[in-house]
Amino acid sequence: MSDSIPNTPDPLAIALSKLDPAPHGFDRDALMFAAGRESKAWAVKCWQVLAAAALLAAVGFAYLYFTHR
Amino acid sequence: MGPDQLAELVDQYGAALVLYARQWCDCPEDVVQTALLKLVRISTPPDNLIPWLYRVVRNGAIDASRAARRRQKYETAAADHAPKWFSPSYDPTGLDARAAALALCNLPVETREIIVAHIWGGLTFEQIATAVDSSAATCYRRYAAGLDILRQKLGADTRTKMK
Repeated sequence: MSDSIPNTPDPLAIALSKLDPAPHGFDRDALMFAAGRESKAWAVKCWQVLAAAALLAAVGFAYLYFTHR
Repeated sequence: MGPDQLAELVDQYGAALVLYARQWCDCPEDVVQTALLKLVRISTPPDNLIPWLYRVVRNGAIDASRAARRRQKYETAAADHAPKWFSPSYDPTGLDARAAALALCNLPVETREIIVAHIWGGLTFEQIATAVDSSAATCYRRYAAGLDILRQKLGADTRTKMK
């Protein structure tokens, strides 16, 4: 396959490559903030599950305590 | 992926990815941001990171264009946006940014996406083939055919200007 692709770039491709894409319009700080939040999403989820489990256990123990007293 | 790596990706590929997404939709920044956040979410970055990113951006942009098309006729809007694809050129001997954008805009999308990914994204034809689910040979053929069309179009425009 590489035989069919010439080694020397096309002059038009070179001329086109000199055109710079318009700068992206996204807010870099907002993106970094969102990325940080996403990267920790699993940890937040873990804590939420753990908290829910602890709450359920607490309610269960409270129920047992008050019904068997 | 750490913040330094993400910042490096944004600096190095952000503008090219936005240009790539702009071919399909009118919200390319959102599509690229979503793709970057998807990358942050996965625990192990893919082996072919850049083709993977282009593939995710491509799929996101196509989905976004379908959603936009339901709301409005996108083709008209895309033609209006075409001149904004590139920064104005300050090189008087170089190509006219607006003419080049319009000529690119008129190419078939399966040809244009390969030209954009190769010239401005710096992807090899093998990487493009991975991103667009095709073969490198097919990508190269489409690229060469697209350049020929652009050559005719931009050459004709230059001759018209010179008259």
